[in-house]
Amino acid sequence: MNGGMQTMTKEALMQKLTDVDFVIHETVLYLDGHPNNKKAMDFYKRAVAERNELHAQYASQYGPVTANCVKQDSWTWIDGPWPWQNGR
Amino acid sequence: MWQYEKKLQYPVKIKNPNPALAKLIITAYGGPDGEAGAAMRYLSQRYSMPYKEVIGILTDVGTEELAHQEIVSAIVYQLTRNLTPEQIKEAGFDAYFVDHTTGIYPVAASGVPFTAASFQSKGDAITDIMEDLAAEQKARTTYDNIIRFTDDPDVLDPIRFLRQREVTHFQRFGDGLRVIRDNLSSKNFYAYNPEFPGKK
Repeated sequence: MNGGMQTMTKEALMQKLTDVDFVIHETVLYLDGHPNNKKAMDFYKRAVAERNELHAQYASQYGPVTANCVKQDSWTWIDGPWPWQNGR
Repeated sequence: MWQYEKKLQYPVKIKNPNPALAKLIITAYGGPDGEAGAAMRYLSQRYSMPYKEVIGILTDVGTEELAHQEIVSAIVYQLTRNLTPEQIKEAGFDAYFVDHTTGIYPVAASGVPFTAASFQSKGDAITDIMEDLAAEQKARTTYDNIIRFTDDPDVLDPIRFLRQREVTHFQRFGDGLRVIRDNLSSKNFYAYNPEFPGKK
């Protein structure tokens, strides 16, 4: 799993993280109303494990996703492009 | 995008209800200088802001204002628990109560519902940051005024925290103003809009 992700571009890795985050969010909404569903709970845990790996990889390779996951030695949090700037 | 954290930025633990005080403090949520307007102001202004430092300040202060909405709401919620109809009437909380029961609704102390008319997003870096500096002072004055109306330490503690954050945010927006000025062209001595038509 790690070997495959090393070569991902910034855009591809961000898209993957966005996809997995959305999958988790959908599962969260479902679990809020079905807190005892074992299948959804197992699915959630697997997705979160994948997300954490993607998140850590993105942060160290390309920059922070949140203001408290800056891995670089300088303040890369404010570096553009910001999400609405469409890569400019 | 945003993710919720299940904690208050500063704890709120109020023992005694006080609906008359709640009616005043609700303005720090939905009033003209409240946290809802603050969050919407900064988070709206950041899109056209040309400088990354100021985008960061607007994003991170705006995010903190969302957390302050939650603190003010928690204060109002805890001040209006376990009330009798008599207590509601005596405290003058009946007008709020008849519209919202004890639900938390963004409204000014005067009863005017939250409105975007109390803030601007002007698309001019200097205009916007000047408004933000003023907004932090207006919010600080509001907290100063609230402090005049209570001696309950359970309420004063989180209100004083919120007041201090207004002072800190004023300082940080001052940093933002410095960044904007440093980026102005030396020929732009009247400080025309550095965002439009694209001349900085």
